[in-house]
Amino acid sequence: MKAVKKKDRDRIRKALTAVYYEKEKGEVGEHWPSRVMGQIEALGPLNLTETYFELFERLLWRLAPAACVLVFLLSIALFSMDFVPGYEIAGWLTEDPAEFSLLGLFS
Amino acid sequence: MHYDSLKPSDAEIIAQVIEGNINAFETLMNRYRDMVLKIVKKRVPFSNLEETAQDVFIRAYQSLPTFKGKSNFSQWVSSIAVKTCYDYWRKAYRSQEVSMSSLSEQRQNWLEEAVSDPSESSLDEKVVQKEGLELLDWALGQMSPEDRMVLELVYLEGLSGKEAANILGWSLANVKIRSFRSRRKLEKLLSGFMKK
Repeated sequence: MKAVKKKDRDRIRKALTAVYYEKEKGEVGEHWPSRVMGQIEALGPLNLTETYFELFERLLWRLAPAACVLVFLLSIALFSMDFVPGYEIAGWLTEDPAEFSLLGLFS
Repeated sequence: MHYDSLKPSDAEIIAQVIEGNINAFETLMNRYRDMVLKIVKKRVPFSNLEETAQDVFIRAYQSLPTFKGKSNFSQWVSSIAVKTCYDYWRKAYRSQEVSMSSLSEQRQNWLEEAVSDPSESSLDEKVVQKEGLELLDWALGQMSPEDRMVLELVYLEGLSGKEAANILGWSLANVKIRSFRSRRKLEKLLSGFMKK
């Protein structure tokens, strides 16, 4: 196998491009457009009602910025209240170690 | 009064189709039929031309509610046409319909002559010879459907990477990498058949 020179590469490209565009010359049958319209008419009018999944997908992205802002505001609120979960649990544990249970935190 | 101003715009026709006037789609089809057929003819075998072009218009009709008018309708429908051809080749590869035959001597001769005599008159003669078409189909048949699409858009039609990426809906980097690889593969394939 030999390496192709740039000049030859350009000639190959030119010849192949000319052949490629020559393919445009074929014609479709006379009745083709009416057959296509027949197929489209058989499909009926476009259905514009959204499925639940499409509705959910659309709402999800619309709500995403609001959710980000909410998370950001809650984080600021928790920091300003000096709420550190680790310290809070440790505090409850040291206050009453015998009665402490994780479930108790939520009761 | 200018005659074109009497014709309904694409946007008006699209609105009518969406409202349920199916027959209005025929106007759109007549406007863009030649453009779509040109795209499809170059990309799929002639025996599958009508079926594939029909699929393009059916897809366009079904996707019409998603057309937001960001690009013009001709670009939008061109993109659907190219993607439909891409899907045709993906199916063809899956069902092993792509010929993997080797290159015949006549096609090798055609390639040799195209390289040795680059004059315009010789090229015009060569283009109509069936060996050229067979050689091109054979070379494209050695490519994956993805490489084939990129090669056609960038190497044969001369589109920029960005334009090809927009049509295919792929990233620019993907198109550039595929374009480079597929071009090298094509040159390697053809140089392998050129006589010393």
